[in-house]
Amino acid sequence: MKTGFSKIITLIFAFGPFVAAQTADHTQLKKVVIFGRHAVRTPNAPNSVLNTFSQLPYPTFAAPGISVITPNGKTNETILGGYFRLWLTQEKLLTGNDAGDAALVYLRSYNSPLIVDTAQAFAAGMLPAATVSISTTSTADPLFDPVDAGVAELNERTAVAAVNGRLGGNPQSLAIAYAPEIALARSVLFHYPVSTTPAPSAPAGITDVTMLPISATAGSSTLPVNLGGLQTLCVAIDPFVMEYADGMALSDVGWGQLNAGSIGQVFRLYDRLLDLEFRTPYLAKVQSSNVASHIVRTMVQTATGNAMTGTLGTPSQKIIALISTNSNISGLAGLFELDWLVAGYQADVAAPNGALVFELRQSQATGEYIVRTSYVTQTMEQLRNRTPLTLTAPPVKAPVFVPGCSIRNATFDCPLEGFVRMASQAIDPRSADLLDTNH
Amino acid sequence: MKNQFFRNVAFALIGVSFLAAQPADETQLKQVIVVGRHSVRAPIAPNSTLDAFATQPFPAFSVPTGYLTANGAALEKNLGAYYRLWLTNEGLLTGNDPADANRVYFRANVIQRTIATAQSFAAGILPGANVFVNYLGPTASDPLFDPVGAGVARLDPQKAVAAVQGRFGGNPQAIAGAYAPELAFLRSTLFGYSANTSPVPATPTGKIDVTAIPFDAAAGGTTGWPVYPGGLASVLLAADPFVMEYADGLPLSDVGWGQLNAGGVSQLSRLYALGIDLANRTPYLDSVQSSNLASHVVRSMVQSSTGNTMAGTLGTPSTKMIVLIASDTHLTGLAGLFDLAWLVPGYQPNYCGPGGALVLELRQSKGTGEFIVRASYVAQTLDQLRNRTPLTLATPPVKAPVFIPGCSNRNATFDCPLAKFVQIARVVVDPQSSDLLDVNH
Repeated sequence: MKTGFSKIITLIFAFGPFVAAQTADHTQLKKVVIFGRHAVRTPNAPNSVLNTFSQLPYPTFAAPGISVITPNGKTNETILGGYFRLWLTQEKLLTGNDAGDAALVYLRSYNSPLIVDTAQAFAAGMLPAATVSISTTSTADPLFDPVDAGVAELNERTAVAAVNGRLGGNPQSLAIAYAPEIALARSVLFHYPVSTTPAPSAPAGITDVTMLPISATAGSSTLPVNLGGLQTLCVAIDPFVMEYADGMALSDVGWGQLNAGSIGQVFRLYDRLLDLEFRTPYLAKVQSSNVASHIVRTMVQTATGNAMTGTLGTPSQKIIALISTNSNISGLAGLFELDWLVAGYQADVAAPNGALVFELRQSQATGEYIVRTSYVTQTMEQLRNRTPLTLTAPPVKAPVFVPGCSIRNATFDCPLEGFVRMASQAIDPRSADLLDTNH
Repeated sequence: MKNQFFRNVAFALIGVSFLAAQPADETQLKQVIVVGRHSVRAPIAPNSTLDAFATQPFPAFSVPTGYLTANGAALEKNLGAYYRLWLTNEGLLTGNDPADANRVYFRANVIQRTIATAQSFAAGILPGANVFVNYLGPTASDPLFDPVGAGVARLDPQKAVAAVQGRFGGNPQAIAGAYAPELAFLRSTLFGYSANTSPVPATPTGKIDVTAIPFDAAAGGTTGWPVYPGGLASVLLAADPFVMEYADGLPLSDVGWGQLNAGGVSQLSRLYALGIDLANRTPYLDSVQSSNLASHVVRSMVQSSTGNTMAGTLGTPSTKMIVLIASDTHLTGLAGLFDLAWLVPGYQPNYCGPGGALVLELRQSKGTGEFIVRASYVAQTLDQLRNRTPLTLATPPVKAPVFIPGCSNRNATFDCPLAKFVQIARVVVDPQSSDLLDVNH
């Protein structure tokens, strides 16, 4: 007996450090908030502009217009919605009666064709036999664009100072720190091997976007701080990830010069732009407090069962899906200091379709409510191959630790009470309102 | 008149964009706190270990493992001489070194390189005095720099692992994927082939390929890491010498065996910085490991502003300069706690170069009497280190002004009112991980 006991102790210790000694999940999913990015789209600038940045013309996508969903993008989003259907049915949030379940869903979309189409494609996968109504606003959306909506006020000078003050007041030094990425971007755009020395000069009549000075000045409602050349550079490289994810021939992905790994490397520039614009603490507070406040209050409303102001959907709606852009996801993650990393991507990348998922769960034993956070995304290969997703072939679900709240189990559960406390420290009440957004 | 008035308004509006319409500084420096990294040192692993990671032997430094080099001492003295000029210019130093020495508080972590750095720095700042450098015995844990070892803070190993795992989806190997370009570059440097060789050559017989060891995030135990990062620990050891080879002025043929220039050194430093970031900027870890240092720094500023002796401080109310010399881990943790970031030309974001320091100036408005905190990161560039460039007010090190989130206002130096700084510190400092003991012994 004694020996047996020791052996068990040894085993526990051997596995103890992490992940292993997880008890069976004794919590029940009560509500889920899915905060997702739009699907694969066409580039944000027309080819007539992009083609002034590169030696060879950019490939043409199978959808007309700039920044619109591609047919494959739509398919991929419906595949992802189908996965959420399977998962949420298993978790008993969905019943299989789509028409009935549609009433349980609050689907909110940023009001642009790309994002509304994404929301529709998602709903078509999650509840194929029902029509889910999509909430949008006709003017600036207070959840996704609280500054233009007048809910939050952005002080331009503080915004510029907050960004400059992360860069020693010298944004141009980014060009030195990211020299390997900039050299790679240039070699792709001007179509030469990156190891070419000396690097060839820019082709006649073509703008070298890697040479434009990087600065930090007052921005626009899309990008709160104008980072000068870094923004143009990001417009030029933005199509590459979409070319790959849309399944274009490899010869059309960066004109045959990029693979999944090097796309990730070039995109460090784009990731850094998003980080500066949306994760800089002041900017995250101003731009993301309202959506954060609504998400947290919605969870509290469910836990208490009492209708509250400043929430999303009705108390009986169990699935809250917010579809927007990577800037909104980065901002919310920055506000709560959330990080993730998915194999094949760089850290904290909000990929096409990818979503921050907040599960409100209740312990069946104690009744306690917890929040379980994860980042769910198709891999670059799953997107490219339009891989069907099932519970056994799922997208990647990266559990996310919520600083100041998560406990140490493998899913980093965070007691709702702790989540509310953490959120009330992070959220700027002057940048949030208590209006319901149930329209 | 009217026209003139409108013209002034127009000018004012044009000027406000940024940096432009800065009024002359009407604040006076009352106290400065320098939290610095040691200067250039020998690698932290012995060559007998390192040489298993590379085709060719690592170049030898003339000092024992991890010790400050002779050039490192000279560089730090040079940096101290710059601070002397700056602080004399600011009226904090008087030129009477023995008298000034009574109003400085120097403290170094317990290891040779930090003690020697503090001594060299002091020799540069106050060459006419013997500045006393406080430090504990070699096997002691300094509560400021190792509060867990000193018993001031308690690290929950399982929570530490969760906090790190939860930054990369519980899949440490995904980090290796995200850093594939740097790992490939490191491998080519270590094994002496051109970075674009394809297919990559096999590992030389008898050598360890550090880039192939699986990354992990496991309880730190006795490894010296709060969370042990698996293969990343070896990668960090193997990549660590390059910055020092370059900064110590070794011939370029000895910097990564002739395969690295300043840009290459900087790119490989990303791997090193990654390990430091995971172990020290992860929010739970910085809260446990850096709260005591932060608490003492902030309380010392309050003590200086009120003139009343307080517990949990460094020096006395009349101490004008507090110098704390430790490692990049400490700077990174302190910066993480307050969400501070910087970028110095030639280095990677938030990188702590040899001799680099977070500098917190306590200043007082001559007009209103209000106290403000002005933060910056001050460092010699890689080339200033390599060339042992003499530093003066006209050729200074880089001073990167640092914005303190939640506090700094929008002027060019990102001034932060002391009262607000204290409020922030209350939120970020974990009282269970700090004490109110003075450390003036």
